[in-house]
Amino acid sequence: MANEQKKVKKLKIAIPKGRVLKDSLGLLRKSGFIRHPDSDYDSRRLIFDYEEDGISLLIVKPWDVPTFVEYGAADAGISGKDVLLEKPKNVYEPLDLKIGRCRIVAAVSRDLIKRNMPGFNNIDRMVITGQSQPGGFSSSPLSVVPVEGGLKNQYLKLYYSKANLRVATKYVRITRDFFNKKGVPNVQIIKLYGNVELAPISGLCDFIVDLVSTGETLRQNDLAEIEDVAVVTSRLIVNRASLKINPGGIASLIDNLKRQVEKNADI
Amino acid sequence: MNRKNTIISSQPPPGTRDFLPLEAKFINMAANTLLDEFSKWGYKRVVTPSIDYLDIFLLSSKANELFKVADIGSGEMLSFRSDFTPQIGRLSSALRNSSILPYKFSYFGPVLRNFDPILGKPREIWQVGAELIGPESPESDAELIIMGIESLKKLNIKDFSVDIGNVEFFRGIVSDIDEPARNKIEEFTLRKDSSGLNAFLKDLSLPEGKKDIIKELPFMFGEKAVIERAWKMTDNERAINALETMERVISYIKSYKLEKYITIDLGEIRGLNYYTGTIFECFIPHVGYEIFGGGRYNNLIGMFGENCAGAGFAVNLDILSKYVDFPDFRNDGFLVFNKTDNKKLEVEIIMFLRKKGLKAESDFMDYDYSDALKYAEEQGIKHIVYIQKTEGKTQFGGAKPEEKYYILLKNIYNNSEKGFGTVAGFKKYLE
Repeated sequence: MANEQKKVKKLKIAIPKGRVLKDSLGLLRKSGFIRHPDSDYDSRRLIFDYEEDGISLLIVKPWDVPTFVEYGAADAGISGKDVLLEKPKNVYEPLDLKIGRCRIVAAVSRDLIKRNMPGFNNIDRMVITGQSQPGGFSSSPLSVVPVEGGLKNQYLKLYYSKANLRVATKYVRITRDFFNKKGVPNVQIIKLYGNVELAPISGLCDFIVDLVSTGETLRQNDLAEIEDVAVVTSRLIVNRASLKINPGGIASLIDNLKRQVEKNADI
Repeated sequence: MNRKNTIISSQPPPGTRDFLPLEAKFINMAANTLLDEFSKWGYKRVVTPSIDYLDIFLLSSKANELFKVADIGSGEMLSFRSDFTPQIGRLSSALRNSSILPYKFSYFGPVLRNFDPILGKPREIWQVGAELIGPESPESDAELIIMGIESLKKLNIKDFSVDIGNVEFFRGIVSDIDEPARNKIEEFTLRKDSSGLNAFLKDLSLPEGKKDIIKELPFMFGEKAVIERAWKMTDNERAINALETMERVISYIKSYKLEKYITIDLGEIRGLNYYTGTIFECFIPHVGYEIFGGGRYNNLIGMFGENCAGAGFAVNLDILSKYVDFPDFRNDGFLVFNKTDNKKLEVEIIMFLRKKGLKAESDFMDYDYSDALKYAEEQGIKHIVYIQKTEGKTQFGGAKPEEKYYILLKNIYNNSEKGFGTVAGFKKYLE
């Protein structure tokens, strides 16, 4: 059949620059895909060819990983679920690598809470209680931060407190889907490219939907989390043609990484 | 609107593009090679309208991905063609009373898909395809795959493989699961999102054995061993039928000695609400999109009246034509480029060349020699014919000077040149 006579080809893997780079490489090393000694991945070099490992790494911007993989410029890649949700691409995503974990949350300015819910004077404390358990959230994509039940419902009322909800975010599609699912009417989404926390302070909007890892930035900018929109981890994604043409190579990539992810989880 | 100060964009809308002469030629040549190959298998070309009723295209496309217009007269919704197959289904249905099966049709043209421009996907795709209406056997599925492989070989494409699946295998396995859960499983399987699938199954009340089988679905890809694995997974009748079909398809392909081109993926379930059996897609290494794709759609024609079986596939020419090694396109053309006032001379030469079946064009830009050379090079014109005045002696008494010219024939690829004093000499040389 197709690849019996073909030589094992070099796998091209797109790795995201930045936050998840180290963990991604760690995973590839531990699972035996890279045996080549460490390189300086912060340098300006963008391609790392490891002939003896039969692998070549492309260092690309996180938002570009799915594009490289979709068009077949890379056989596989490591991409955050946030990117995959916001810009759906025609790729396979066989494995949750359980690295780069963070959340996309809906948050609101404390100002608005004070104005709409004057009864809740101890609001700061409550929110901080909710956030003081990093890693305490479950892996289900729509889990909520543990906040006291009654207060939680009050929070949700905030969505309906205005005739026209303005939400600033980097994630237009995710935000639109989220509010559609909740049935919140009249949501006006304002696309920003960064420092989304600034939007409520400056009066651009009252709500934001943004990525948080510890919640510290939100706190410092006088914002309170309402609920999780999605839990984000990095995924292994695979080009469709690569999987079909080199099923053996891709299957062993998935298997080996899967074993390593399970090992990591046991620790 | 004041149009005076606006400059209209020189780029077409996102997802569409202009094909310049060379590319257009490639697309045409690829299309002709394919149509020619299909005709050897009995497929005849049909032409369908560019617009049709919305309902027809909804059979295979999503409503939001169609270019829709309202019919001026009736207000009925029409759409630009997003796919040829439903139109072939429609016309086949209309033929049932007058012609006997099977129908073998081929087609060539663009399809339009109204994708969100943000996605950066092509929205106009040129396709050539074939549809086989009537037969139902696995061997007829196989024949389409074989014809696809043979036509790529005709285009000298070597490194490709055709991935074969059967949606009935998946359907059989999940047939006893309630619909909402089934849809979720479908979503995860389609993306081969095994982590998502496992997390979803954890909370689902299903026997563990069944869960283990479903967990395998994203990984049912590879070589023939996949089918052996699949036999052990199920005793569901639909799934078993799918496996039997798959084995017959493969054995027919084997009898054509083409098995080296195929791979198997029983977890591939694209177009689940449309396809009813065998599906297949052809891939070239490091190209994200399929070169051709198709499958069996036994419920399509029934949508227009009496049902009958059908299967087919479409080739995406824009993607394909990038991987075809076309012959050298430098043509044997002549650029005739006249620096005298004698237009008759120029026309005589051009008519002579065209009559001989050669390509000849005049230079109307009034180029000088070096610009003419540049133009000829860019256009792949092989020869330039340079007609030049030579100094005649001015006669006393104000009479016109005797007309003298000189014809230079230059082959710009090997830089050889030859000069002629008369048209007759030029003609004689080319005879």
